[in-house]
Order: sequence, then C-alpha cells, then structure tokens
Amino acid sequence: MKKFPCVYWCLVFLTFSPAIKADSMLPKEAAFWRQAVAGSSVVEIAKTMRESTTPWPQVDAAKSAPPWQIDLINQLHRIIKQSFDPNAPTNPDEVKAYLQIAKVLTDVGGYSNILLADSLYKLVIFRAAQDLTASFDNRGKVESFVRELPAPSLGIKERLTSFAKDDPSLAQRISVIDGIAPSDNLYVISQQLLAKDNADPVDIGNLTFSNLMANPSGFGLTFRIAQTEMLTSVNLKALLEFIKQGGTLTELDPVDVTRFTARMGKVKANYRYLPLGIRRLSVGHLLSILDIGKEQVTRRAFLQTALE
Amino acid sequence: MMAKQLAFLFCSLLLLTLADARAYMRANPDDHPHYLTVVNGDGDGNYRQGKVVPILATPPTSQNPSERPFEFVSWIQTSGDGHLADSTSSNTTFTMGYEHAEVVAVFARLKTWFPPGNQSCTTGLLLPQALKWPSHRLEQLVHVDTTSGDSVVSAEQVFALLNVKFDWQEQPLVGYYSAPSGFSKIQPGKNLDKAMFSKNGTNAFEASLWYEGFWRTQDYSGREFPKVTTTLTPIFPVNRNGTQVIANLLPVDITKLWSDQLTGVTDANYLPNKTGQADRAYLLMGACQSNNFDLKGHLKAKVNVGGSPELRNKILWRLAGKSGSTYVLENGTSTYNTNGDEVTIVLDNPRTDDDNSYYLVAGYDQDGNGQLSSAEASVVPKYKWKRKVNGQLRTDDHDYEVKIISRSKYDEARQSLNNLAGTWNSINFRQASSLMTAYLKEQTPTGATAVPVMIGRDEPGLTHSVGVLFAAPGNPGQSITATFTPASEMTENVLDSTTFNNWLSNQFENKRNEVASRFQNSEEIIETFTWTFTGDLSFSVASDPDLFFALGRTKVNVAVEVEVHRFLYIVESTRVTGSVTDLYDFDYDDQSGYGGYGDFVRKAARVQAGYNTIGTGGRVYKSDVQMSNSPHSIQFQFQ
Repeated sequence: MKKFPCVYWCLVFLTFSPAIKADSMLPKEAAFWRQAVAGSSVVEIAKTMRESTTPWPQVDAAKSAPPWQIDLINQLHRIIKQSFDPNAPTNPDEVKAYLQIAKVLTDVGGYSNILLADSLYKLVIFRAAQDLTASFDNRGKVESFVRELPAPSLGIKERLTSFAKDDPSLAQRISVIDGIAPSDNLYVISQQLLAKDNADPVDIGNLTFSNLMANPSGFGLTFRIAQTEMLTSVNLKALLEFIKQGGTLTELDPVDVTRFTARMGKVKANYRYLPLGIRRLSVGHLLSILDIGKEQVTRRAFLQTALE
Repeated sequence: MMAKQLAFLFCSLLLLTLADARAYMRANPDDHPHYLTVVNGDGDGNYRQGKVVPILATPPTSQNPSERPFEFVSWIQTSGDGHLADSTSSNTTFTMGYEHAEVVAVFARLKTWFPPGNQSCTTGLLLPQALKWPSHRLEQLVHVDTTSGDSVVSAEQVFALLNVKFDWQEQPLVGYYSAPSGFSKIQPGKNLDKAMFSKNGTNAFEASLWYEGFWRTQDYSGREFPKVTTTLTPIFPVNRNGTQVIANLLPVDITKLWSDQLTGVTDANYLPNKTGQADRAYLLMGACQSNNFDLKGHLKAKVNVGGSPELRNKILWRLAGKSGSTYVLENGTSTYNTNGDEVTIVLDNPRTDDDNSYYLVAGYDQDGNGQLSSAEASVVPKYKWKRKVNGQLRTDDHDYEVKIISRSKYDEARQSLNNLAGTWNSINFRQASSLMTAYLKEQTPTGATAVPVMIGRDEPGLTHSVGVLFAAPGNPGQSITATFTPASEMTENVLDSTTFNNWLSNQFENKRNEVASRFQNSEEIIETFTWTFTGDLSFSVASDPDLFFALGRTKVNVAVEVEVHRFLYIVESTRVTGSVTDLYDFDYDDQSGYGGYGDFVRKAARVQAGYNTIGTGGRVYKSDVQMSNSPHSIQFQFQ
C-alpha cells in the first residue's frame, strides 16, 4: 500500500464519503439545534429557542418529518425527563422555561412539536398541583404561571384536520371529520371514527409521549390536548377561584357537597369544557388537581403521560 | 326289569371307573403329551403333564394401520386342565395338566366409533377385541346379573367404555337393544349402561339404541324408531352358537364440570348452563391459591367399578387447547375420589401469553406412562347448551370449555387498571376512578359508605359466577353496597347527567294527558304531580363518560315530585326521591360500546375472575346512588 499512496487515500475517501455526504445534506438549522440542545439545561435551551435567529423547525410525525428532526424532539424530551424531579419543590425558572419552550413549539407547529409542548404544559400543571397540594397559600404563585398556560384555541374539527397528514387512518376519515357537529364531544367523535372500518380503539390510558411519537394518532393527540385544556380551564382555574373565595380543604368532600355547592354554586356553570362534555363544575374537578399533586397512582399516571 | 337294572349297574360302574381313571391320571402324570392351544399368542404345542410352558400374548394385527394397537388385558383358560401362573401378565407360563388345554389372550384397544348417518358420536373405549375366539367356555367371561337376571360380562374383564350422544334426542343414552327380536328394554346398571349386540354375519354385530325419555312418551306406539342400527366389529368374545351377548358399557362422560377455585363451592360456577347470568357457554375462572387451575367433574358413571385399578390408573382427564380443530393437550393430572364418581382435573402450567380456552378431554393411557398423549386422548365430552334465541329454545352440543386467568394475567390486568384509574382521576372521571380503585383493592369507593350485602349466583347482572366469595356449596357470598347519600358528589353527578335528564324526559312524555287533564279541571297556577318511575338506564358514553365507566347500565326506581306551571305546562321544579342502583361487574365477552377506551372491560373481567384466590382485587359489589327530595333541573313542557 505504501507503494500506492493514491490508492490508499482513495479508499479512505470512499470509506468516509457517505458520512460526509449525509452530513453535508443536513440543513444548517439541524447542526445548530443539535448543538444547542446537546448538553444544555432546560433553561438554556429555552433561552436559545427564545432568542435565536435560527428558527426551531416544524416537526411533523415521524413518517413525514426528516429523521434528524425526530431525533431532535426525542433528545429534547429526554433532557426534560432527565432534569425533572417530581419530588423537588417548584423552581420558577424551570416552569418558566417549560412555558417558553412549549410556546415556541406550539407557534411553529407540527405533530411532534405540539405533542412535546403538551407534555411541557402537563408538567406545569403538575407543578401547580404540587404547590396547591402543599398549601392553598401558594395560590398567588401558581396563578402567575397558570396565567401563561394557553387558552383553548382550536376546535376539535380543526385540530383533527390539522393532524390528518400525520395519521393515515385519520386521513381516510376526512369525511367523518367534516361531518363533526359543533356540539359533538370527543367521545361521540371517537365512536364515529371507530365505527368506520372497525378501526382500532385508542387506549386513553396509554397516550404517553413515546407511544404517540412511535404510533402517531391524530385523535389520540387531540384527546390528550383536550385533557390538558380542560385541566387548565376548568380544574385549575376553579380551584384557584375556590381558594380565592376562602374555600377550605374540608369543603371539598365528595360525601357531602353541600358546603362546596353553597360556596361555588353560583359559578358552577361558568366552568365548562364541551370538547370533553364538561357542562358545569363539580367538587371532583378540584379534587382531581389535588390528587395529581399527592395521590400516588394519579400522580404517577399523570406524569407518565408527559414523561414516558 | 333285570336288563334295566343290569344296564344301570353297568353304567354306574363305567362312570366310577372313568372317574377313578381321571383321578388316577391327575395323581399320576402320564408320559403322553397333550396339546396346548394358545389363542392370540405364542406357545402352542404338545407338552407332557406338569410341563411349565412359556406363553406370550401377541396382539392381533390390525388391518388398518391408523388404528391404535391392542393392549393386553388378561389370559383366560377356556378349556382343559392346567394352571396359569399370572393371568394379568402377557408373558407368563402355563403348567400343563392331564389333558389338552386352551388359553386365550384378551386384548383391548381404544376405538373411535362413528355410527352411520348424521348422528354425532363421541369416542369410547371398546374392549376387548380379539379376532379368534374359542367356541366354548364363554361362561368364564359372563356371569349372571342377579338384579336383572341378564347375563353380563364382568366389568373387570371387559370394562368397555362408550359414550354416545345423538343430536336428535336430548335424552341420554341408557342402553342398547337387540333389534331383531323387537323392543325389549334393558335396564341400565347402577353404574353401567348395557349393550346388547346381535350377531349379523360373520364378524359384524348390530346394536340398536333407544332413549329412555322417548320410551316413556305416551305417543310411543311401538314403531321402530328412534332406533339406530349400526355395525360394529366384534369387540368381545361371543358364543358362536348364540346370537346375543350383553356387555357392560362404562360411559366416559361427565355430567357436571365446576370450577374448584373456591374450595367446596360446587354449585356456583359450573357447566352445563350455570356459568352466570350471561349464560356463556364456558366457565370463567381464575387460578387457585396454588396458581394451578382446579376443576372438578361429576362422572356419568363411576370409575371404580369392580374396584379395578386399571380404570383409575388409565382413564385420564386433561384440559386441551385448540389449534384449529385439533386439541392440544396440556400437562396436568386427574384424580378420582374414593367413590369413583368425581374426578379432579388440574392444569399445571397454563400458558400466560393470552387468555386461552381449554377443553375437557379424556382418554385411555395406552402406554401406561401416566400421561395422556394426543393419540391417547379420544374422548371430548359434550353437553347440551340450552338457551333462548329469539324466544325459541335452542340446544347445541358444546365442548366443556374453560377460560382461565393466570396469576400473571391477573396481575398485569390489575396493574393496568390501576394506572387507568389514575388516568381517569386526572381527567375528571372521578367516579369511574373511585369505583375502579375500590374494585381493585376491595375497598369502599370514595364518597360512599359500605353496607354489608349478600350476592348470590343468580344476582341480576352477575354475568359470570366469579368475583363473589360464595359460601359452599353455592350459597351467596358477602360483599358491600357502596351507598352514596343524597348529599354526595355521585348523586349530584347522576342528577346533573344528560342521560338521567333524557330518561326522565322520556318518562314525562307519557304524562302529557294527565297534566292537561289536571289543568283543565283546575284553576291553579301551579299543579304538583308525584309519579313513580322504574326502569333501566344506561349512561351514555358520549354525554356522561364518567358515569358510563362508573355505573354503566343501571336500574332506576324513583318517585318524582314535579311542579308544573299552567303557562305552556312548563316544569317549574322537580324533586327526586329514590335510587339508581348498579352491580359493579364486568362481562368478559362484552366489548360493545367501549370502543376507543382500550380493552379495560376484559381486563377488569380478568381481575374479577381472580378474586379472591389470586388477589383481593376483583370483588363484585353493588352501588346505590340515593336521592332524597333532591332538586333536579329539567327543561320540559307538557303542552
């Protein structure tokens, strides 16, 4: 080989050329965001996402997004998961970072981005639940970041339509989606979608991040987002209002709701979330937030959806 | 007279002389050889008296290679003098006597019997089969049944097993009848059915069957049906001079199969037709404490007939899975009780990959290794599955099918449901979460108080007879009624639900005339009505998903006080007193209406099947949502 140095170097080039070629084909933003995410903290990533002139990419579902984008989403999710300590007290910087990252992901859009954003919103809700479980005196602190949680924006029909390109089974049911009436909630729609072609049911107990990444489901993600919106707009806000009105823990008694009704009866009808069929407030809505904060099974199931 | 006396004297002397000669010959072996005939074996030949001759039984060669081989049963000395060393050993010796002798090796084999026609017929064990039978000494095989006076072949020697069922009659087979001579009922033995075979040609016999139930019908007029004639190959020794032999037949059949999950509870969960209110054609059961699956069955006939160990050791019962139409045997054991009328069937290591259906099979352990191979398992007992279809009674033959839940499947389902309960709680399905959690942990649901209650096998809504700690032998077991008081969140949720509102509206529809009539005969602005309504109410998954998962199908029994305004007969106010009740129970087969929410119903049914031998989770309990003068908001106008 020493006699033929040109041949040697040609072989070396041919060996590594595919890698060089593949890397060179990636857009600049890929390298940038890979580097920005790798080894950074959640707070640092949030700062970069907020301030960078290189926009965060729109990341659709795995089938239509480039692999590097899916890797990027999974890497970011991994960093969030690894840094999240459910037993640690709420860190305002951490919560702020979650909200900032989630906002960027939501604004850019795409199935995978929105899924990760929803996981972050759930972590914010968890921190709120944790603080309120610890003490109703944390109301002010919690209100400051609950205010940043997004209000319900899209209707079910629009949401499902937007995910049709990510979910082939949903794409085949466009006619069903077009026929959705404004009064239809997700349970009704679920039945309508399933009725066609005996589609596989969506397991609402298993709408985890990794499951929805691996098996994109437009309905599953819509259902998951609806849960987050309901918890924000009904459960959390009602609990904050209840505390604000001087409500106490003993009033939240499922055996006897008379004291709760006496305090909140007049505003019960103000708390509604029709996509999930919630027409008025119940004492259980408030208790479910406290259970997310302290009840082990509920807490684990809730965090599992966001982190697993 | 003298001549007669002389003749008598001569004969007497001759007989005495002959008798003396025989006695002499017994006592003094002669040097003349005698011929030993060995039927179905080796060892024929001329031997002198006292010679110990090795004899070896050789099974008859089957003309059909696919048939099972014959199995040696015993030696029988059918003529002559001599002594068998061991009649139960195929390889033994015969000590020659003073005259020619004949010994017969009796063989048996399992045989599947399919009578002609469309009748379905299960398999039995037909013994013994030998192609060469001696022409005499049949009486050694036959003794007289002192009860009936019939000649019957002793069970110890024949132990013929037969299990025959016909689709066109529901009555069990009780006996056979010899066709040529007309109808003559043969009483079944205490433990055995009997068969009478008539000779038909050289090697074929006819057997006719009749049914006790039909025999007793009044319109029976002696017609030759329901008689079925079939041709059998010779299955046991017959008298060539005669035309009939009666044999005992021991049915390899079962009359009842029950889950022994709860020890001593024999009358709660069993086939046929007592598997729960849903009347499924299978038994649902969980593992026992040992993680085995114990079933017990009442046998149609005792297997200790004549005290033969052969039957106990060799007639084995097992559970088998199914691959297509093929039964795949599982490891296990079967043991008989002392009386021989009950068998315990244990499945040792159930598969854990899925909830499998297992089927009861039986067979004859031909190779004597204590296990039943697929080739040896030949009997698949069936029962009549009776049910009403469109108002008509329908009866089908059905295998004894068992769906069993292993410990691992139970644990997996329980863990999954526990997670689901947590998810439900986090998305506002509070009642569903609370009731499910109570179910999984044998607790009282949050927001309810527990009132002791007994739940029986016939409890409406109890789809399978599992989930209740029945008391032996099949008495109701104690559980709780989760009572939700009128002030509870549950009651508020029910009253606020769209489903209850719609149900009440439907009840009001029938009261329009009464309301109109009242106002026509009155000048009051407000009229008050009190009505009682009862009925079924199923919460809608679309409008009330929490209550759908929590209560599902319920019974309503309420008194409703309604104030109606004269203007358009609008409902001013409504107050409800009464209750909405439910049984927290899961139907293993019910997958309808739950689409989109995972297979939690089946998982919950698995947990229910494991109560309480695998774990404490899965207890069935009642819910009672009480209302007492509870205000209800409903928009309705009667005009």
